[in-house]
Amino acid sequence: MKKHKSIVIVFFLFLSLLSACRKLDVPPLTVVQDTDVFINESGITAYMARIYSRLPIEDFKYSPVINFNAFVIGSASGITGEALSRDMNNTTETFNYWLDAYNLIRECNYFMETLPKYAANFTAGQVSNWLGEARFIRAATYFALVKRYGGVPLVDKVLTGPNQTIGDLTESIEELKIARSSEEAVYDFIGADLDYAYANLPETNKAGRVNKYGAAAFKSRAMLFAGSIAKYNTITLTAGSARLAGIPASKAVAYFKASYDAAVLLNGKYSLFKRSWVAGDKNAQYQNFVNLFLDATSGNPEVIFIKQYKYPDAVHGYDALSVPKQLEGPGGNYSSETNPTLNFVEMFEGLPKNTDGTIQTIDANGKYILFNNTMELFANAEPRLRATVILPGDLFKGQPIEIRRGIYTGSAAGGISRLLPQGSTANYPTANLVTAAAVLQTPYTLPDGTKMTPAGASGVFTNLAANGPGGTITGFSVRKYLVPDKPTSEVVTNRSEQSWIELRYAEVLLNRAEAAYELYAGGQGANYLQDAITDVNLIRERAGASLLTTMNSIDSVRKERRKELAFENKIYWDLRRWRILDQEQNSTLYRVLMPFYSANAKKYFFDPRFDERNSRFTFDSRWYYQQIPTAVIAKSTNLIQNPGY
Amino acid sequence: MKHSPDYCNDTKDCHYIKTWPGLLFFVSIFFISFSLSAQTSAKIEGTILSKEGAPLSGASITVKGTSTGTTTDTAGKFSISTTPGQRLVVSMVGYQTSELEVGSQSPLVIRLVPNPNSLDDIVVIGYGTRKKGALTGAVSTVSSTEIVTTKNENLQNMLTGKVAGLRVIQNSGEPGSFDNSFDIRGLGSPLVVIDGVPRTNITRLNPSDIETISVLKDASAAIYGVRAANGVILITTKRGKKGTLTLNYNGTYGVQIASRLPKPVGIYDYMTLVNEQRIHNINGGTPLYTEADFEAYRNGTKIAANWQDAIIRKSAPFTQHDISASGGNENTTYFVGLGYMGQDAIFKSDDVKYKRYNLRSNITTKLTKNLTFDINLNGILDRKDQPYISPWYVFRSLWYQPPIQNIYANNNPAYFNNVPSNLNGVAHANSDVNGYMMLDNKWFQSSVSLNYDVPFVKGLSAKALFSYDFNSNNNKIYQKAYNLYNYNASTDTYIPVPQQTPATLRREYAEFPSTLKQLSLNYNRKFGNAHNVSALFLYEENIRSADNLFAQRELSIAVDQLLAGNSLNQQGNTGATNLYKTINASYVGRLTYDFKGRYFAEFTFREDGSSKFAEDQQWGFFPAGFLGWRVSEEAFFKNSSALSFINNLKLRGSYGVTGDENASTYQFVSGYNYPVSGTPTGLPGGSVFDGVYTNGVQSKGLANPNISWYTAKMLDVGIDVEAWKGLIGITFDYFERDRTGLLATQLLTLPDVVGVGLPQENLNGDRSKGFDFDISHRNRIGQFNYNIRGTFGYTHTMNTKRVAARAGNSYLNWNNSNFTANRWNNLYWGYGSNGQYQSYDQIAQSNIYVNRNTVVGDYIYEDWNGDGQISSQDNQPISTSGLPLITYGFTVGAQYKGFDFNMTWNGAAKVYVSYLEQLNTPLWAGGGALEQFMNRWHPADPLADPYDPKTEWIPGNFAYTGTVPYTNTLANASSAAYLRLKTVELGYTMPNHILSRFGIKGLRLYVNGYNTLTFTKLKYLDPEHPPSQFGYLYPLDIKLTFGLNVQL
Repeated sequence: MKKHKSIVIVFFLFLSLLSACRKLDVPPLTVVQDTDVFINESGITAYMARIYSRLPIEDFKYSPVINFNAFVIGSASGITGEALSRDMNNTTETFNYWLDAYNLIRECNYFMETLPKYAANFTAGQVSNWLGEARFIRAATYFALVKRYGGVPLVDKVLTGPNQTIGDLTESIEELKIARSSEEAVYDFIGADLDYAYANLPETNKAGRVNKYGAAAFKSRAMLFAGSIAKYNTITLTAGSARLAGIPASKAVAYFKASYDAAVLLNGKYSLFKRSWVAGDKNAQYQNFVNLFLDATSGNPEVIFIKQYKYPDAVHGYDALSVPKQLEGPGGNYSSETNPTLNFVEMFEGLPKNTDGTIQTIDANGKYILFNNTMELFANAEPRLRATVILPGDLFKGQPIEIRRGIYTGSAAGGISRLLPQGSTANYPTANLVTAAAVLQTPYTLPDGTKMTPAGASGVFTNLAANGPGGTITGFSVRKYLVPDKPTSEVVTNRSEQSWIELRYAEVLLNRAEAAYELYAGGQGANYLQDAITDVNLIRERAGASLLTTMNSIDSVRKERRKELAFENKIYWDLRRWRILDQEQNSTLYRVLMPFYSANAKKYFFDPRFDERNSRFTFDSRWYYQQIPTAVIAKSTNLIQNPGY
Repeated sequence: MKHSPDYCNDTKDCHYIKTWPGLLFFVSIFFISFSLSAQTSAKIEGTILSKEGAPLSGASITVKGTSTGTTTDTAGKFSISTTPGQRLVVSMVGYQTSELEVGSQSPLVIRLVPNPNSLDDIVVIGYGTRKKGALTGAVSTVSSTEIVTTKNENLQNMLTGKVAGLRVIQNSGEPGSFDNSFDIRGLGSPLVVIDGVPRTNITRLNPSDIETISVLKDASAAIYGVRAANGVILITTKRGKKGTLTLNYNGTYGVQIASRLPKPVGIYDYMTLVNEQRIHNINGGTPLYTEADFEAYRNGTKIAANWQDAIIRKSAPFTQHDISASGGNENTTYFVGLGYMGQDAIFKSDDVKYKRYNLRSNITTKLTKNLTFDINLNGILDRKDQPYISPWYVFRSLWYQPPIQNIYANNNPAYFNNVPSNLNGVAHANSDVNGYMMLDNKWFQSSVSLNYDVPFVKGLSAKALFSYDFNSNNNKIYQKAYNLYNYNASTDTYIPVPQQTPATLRREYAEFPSTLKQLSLNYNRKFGNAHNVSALFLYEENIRSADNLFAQRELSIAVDQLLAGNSLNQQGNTGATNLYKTINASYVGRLTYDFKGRYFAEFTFREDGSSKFAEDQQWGFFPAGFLGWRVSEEAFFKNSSALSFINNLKLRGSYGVTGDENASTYQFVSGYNYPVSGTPTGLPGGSVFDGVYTNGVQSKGLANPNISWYTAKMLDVGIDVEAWKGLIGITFDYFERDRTGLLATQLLTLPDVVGVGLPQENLNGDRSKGFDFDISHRNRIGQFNYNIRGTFGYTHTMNTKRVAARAGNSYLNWNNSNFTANRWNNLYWGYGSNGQYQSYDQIAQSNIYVNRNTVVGDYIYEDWNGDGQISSQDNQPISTSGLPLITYGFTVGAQYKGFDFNMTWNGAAKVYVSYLEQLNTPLWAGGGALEQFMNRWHPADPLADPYDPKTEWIPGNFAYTGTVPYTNTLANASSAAYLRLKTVELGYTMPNHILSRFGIKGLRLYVNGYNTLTFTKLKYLDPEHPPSQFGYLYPLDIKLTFGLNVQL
């Protein structure tokens, strides 16, 4: 009996196990399919989260020598003359933006081709909104390409079919070697994509995603770029009838008009941020301009399109990299990477100036003008300057920012003469000067017995090396975008999360003003001139600067743009499209302003001089069109290289 | 500095420990109750003894020609029912089989003659066993007694030197890290099968539970199909033997000492080196430290720090206890074991430690005459404690801080000094300061099987096996905020510099359940006394899965619990790596035939399916064939008196196909990776919309539906010789493994405008070949028994096919060694070395370009192409790279009366190391220096101008301070070949007549040394210490162990 029982058990076991024989189609748990993505709005949001994250914009994480979305140390403003950065010297953009661009374009094209197949899951409005977003991202990507390389291959569909094997693809490889289109065609393609986006995008969208005015604002930027190339570029590269580099000058007016028209679309929809602005109150105007960048959401009427960050998943380190040394967080020596130049500061109103426009710190007798404190020199500075640049001695996070090059111990009787002849690039003499190499320094005992550190807590230190001790190297530190209430313990490279404002109405006004002035200059009527003056004055009024009554040159608009959009990583591209960067940077040394304390006079004086590091800047004019990566040409031999490479 | 509870301070952990034995007890009682009591009356009793008269337990006694059989108990006694005239066959592993006719005499006393390499020994092979004499594949075995002669926390290290071709390199002695390189014939990570089930916990096994380990080195592994390309290791755990209950206790206590741990220099040496570095400047330099500075330390005005003494202690304890019970009767046998292992580290803080508990219960019972039931249970708990800052980083900090940097600010022990780069090693080594990591692992492994001897077909049996395994990792990681301090002398204040803020607590949990179902039919029969036939057919299904999650919060109050955290910035997610489910389904078969034990043929196959591939690529066929010829069984051989001293000579060869499924990560699937892995400070995985982070979906790009596993073809030819009745045994094998289908992307790439690259394909190939051999000798002179065994393995690998673009010229093409087919790829490329400049004259007369700041003692690189300068064109293969190509070992065992002695030497050759950072450069990155760098070329007068030709130099091993050799040169690479006494053990067994008075069956005391002696040309470091992790890994250890073994 027992025996039979066990046989039964064995057979039962056999059968139950055999029935478990199964197919092996176990899908990987971390891979999802189109059917999971295009099924509902959250799937689409995940798709959008990917393509927006790779949108090629020059934000906090843009480094000309690394890439987009990089861990940045050297400041991108350090190549334009706006600022000097210990870890950024004379260079052009050195990374290749090509494969990443076409990968993103492919993902946009794939989205545009796939979403309609799943249209039944959504409302018609949703579908057209999302198609508009994909078009916007594609346009922005082509813009990132064309502003670097000129005409590039235009791809408006997914180039590989779903059923193509590796063999099929390698056989048809010649067809995939798409040639460069003309620069003009690329701009027209961008214009068409943005028109589509404008027509299909909603009036409002989530923060971090674009709406129809974002598309219009971006078009005003892109078309202004095209117009500038048509008007100012002198480099030519043609292949057959296509002009791969350069746009015929005859097209300039049309592009400026397109830029102007796109900017006008935002009229009445957006306005300059003036929430805490008070007419005639410089302090209120200063605070208003500070707040503009920190109040990027909550209905800021100026903000059109932003990129958001959120700890811990998506962060940047702008505060850690930019704060003055004395407010540095744990982790060390990252501070003050963006140090505005004196050249930049001198563009603003309200500073004592010499006749040549440079700052006046020397009196008629050739002696330094003495000040009770470092802020006295800037007492009447334009509020926008204070909101953009931390001036020596100004308050930040409740502390006066202590910037001092050294203590002058020589006699002050009869005034203090220049430490160095004007225009000298030499080192400061060691006689009568006490300085410090780094923040740990031996205090100097002043004649009255009190102690003072030779350099201020935020510099300037004599060790100016890259990765040096930190501290300012120009006498200034950047203010724009810094968060004033961030705890010091969070001033580290992965804790900043303030939004990057990619498109704001001030830029649209400046685009409009520039396009208008160019149209006026191109013979399109005086109304445009008046429009340009009105636009610029809106900006100037908010900035706390005097208003213009006339405008004699495009330089008025450009200078306004350089002040308003400083440290927003836009000026580099402006200087390129105006084709003036090579003239501005021709073995150029930028200027700095060194505050000294006279121990005997018990007063401060300022020495303007050339950058002590002797870091010279030169922009090679062939860089206006970047080199197409040789590896790209090796794979696609019919691509024609830009001139000079 | 205890910070966290041990096991059993926590009620939850106690629960486990208390419950498991209870459960086992219940299970044991249940099966023991199956025992049958029927016995026949014609009984004969006897004792089986060794030649020396020691009782042999576990010897098997069968009545010839019947199925009646029994085994001896621990006193060597047996009783069996026979009738006079029948013959008894007495056999035991390791002894020659003895036969005798049953007479009237009772009790019988039978003495067995030892036979170390008995051809009748049973060897475990894939899905079965085989007599050693019938083996046709390259299978090496190690028995439990051979394993435990090495004392280590990691079973892998206990195998070092004992198996020819098994390459074991210990990377670190860090408790709980189990950091080893472990492979068979250099082929890669092998499949480990424990008691018939693929399992990954080889490092955590209790060595006392192991009966035998088989290493399948050739096509013998092919029966494991798509997972067998790197060979297979089979581990079999102990089972009970019939006989009375035996309790076995084994306990050790040991101390561990770091093996060749570099030491930082003292204050005077440090200041001297700094001065040398400063004056080592062609443009002139001044020493930093003056005589007054030296004097300040000499007269005690200033006190130098001794970081080494503050962090490292001389020795750390190591202890192990296990107790096992085994026994059984005719129907039920059991083995139950409980083990504990505890290991501390050489940090003074005592904050790095490891504890392990092993519990095993293997029970076999006969349900009916033909039906056997097996249940194996194994439970392991282990835990590693360490500071939040990893031990390797502690060594980095320790070596970095020079003695001029005080440990404590103002030498006040209440305040840790804010030393350069915040690298305060004393703070780093201490959990109380910087927090901790608690890494908890649990394993539950079980299998049940039924074996049915089919009564109507002779030799046929059927088996069903089901296994359920479960492994979990449960980690608690506390990043504690702490302060370092700057001392302000003018105000007598300590200014805190916060570190690791905010305090963060992280919990991680991962689990890995897996199941295995197996059904098999086994047929084994001898026809006509000449034709041995066996066959196996088996179906197996193995499901493995993993899941995990973590939660992390910043702490509101300084309590190390998640609940003390706040919701701001809290994180929680599942990692993509440990989230999977894979299924392997397989049909396995084997046919063997031998003719009179003379000619052997075997064929195995596995039709293997893996869920890691596309539907059309899931199944593969992995056959293997074996041939053997036992020449010594031929008549001409047996009849030749000249050859009579050879008692076994066998030629064998095998060829088989295996696969490796591990490389492909679902590249046949198109679609999207989710979640996208990103870098928060770089490109994140998604975007922030409306203030909320949203993860993205990332297109996987083009898929390759045809992607498949690597295919490996294994060839092995071997010879086994045994002469003078086992006095000499030799096994030699030559092998080749050809792999094809290694993943690569083809050269022809799509233009970038496509926006995506071609997917990987199975394109590349390589070949590993080499040989291994094993020589054994065993003898007895009077009361003195000894045995010697040597093992040797040599392996190297070349690319046979490699997709790569041709370089610009043929030199470069040749230079890109890894892109060239048919060249050994274990080559290390760099500049050759011509020693060091011995004099200024030699520098002046150099026929290669010499930099103007060159000094005496600087390295001379070989101008290989003779162009007068050192450039990248002087790159050449200068040594081998990676793991040693040659590994060898030899074991000596001896007994004399009650004493026994064992030692295993092991060695490696064709291995080179070169180091980075602090093991390469004194005063690296402004830090301190290691003592080894004092052995340098330097002027006799420390302040002499090194550029003055009159300066008198003292030669040394390294160049003058400030000269660092290029990384890839022979000047920087050293041979790490070594020969070391891996283990040496001396034991004494108390005589039986004394013990029996106390009712003790056996008692042995022993002392063991691990890594006690090392011969190597490598200066300053342990030769096994790897350069990885910049050379900062926790050192290997020397262990001295005292042990006691008691049998009751």
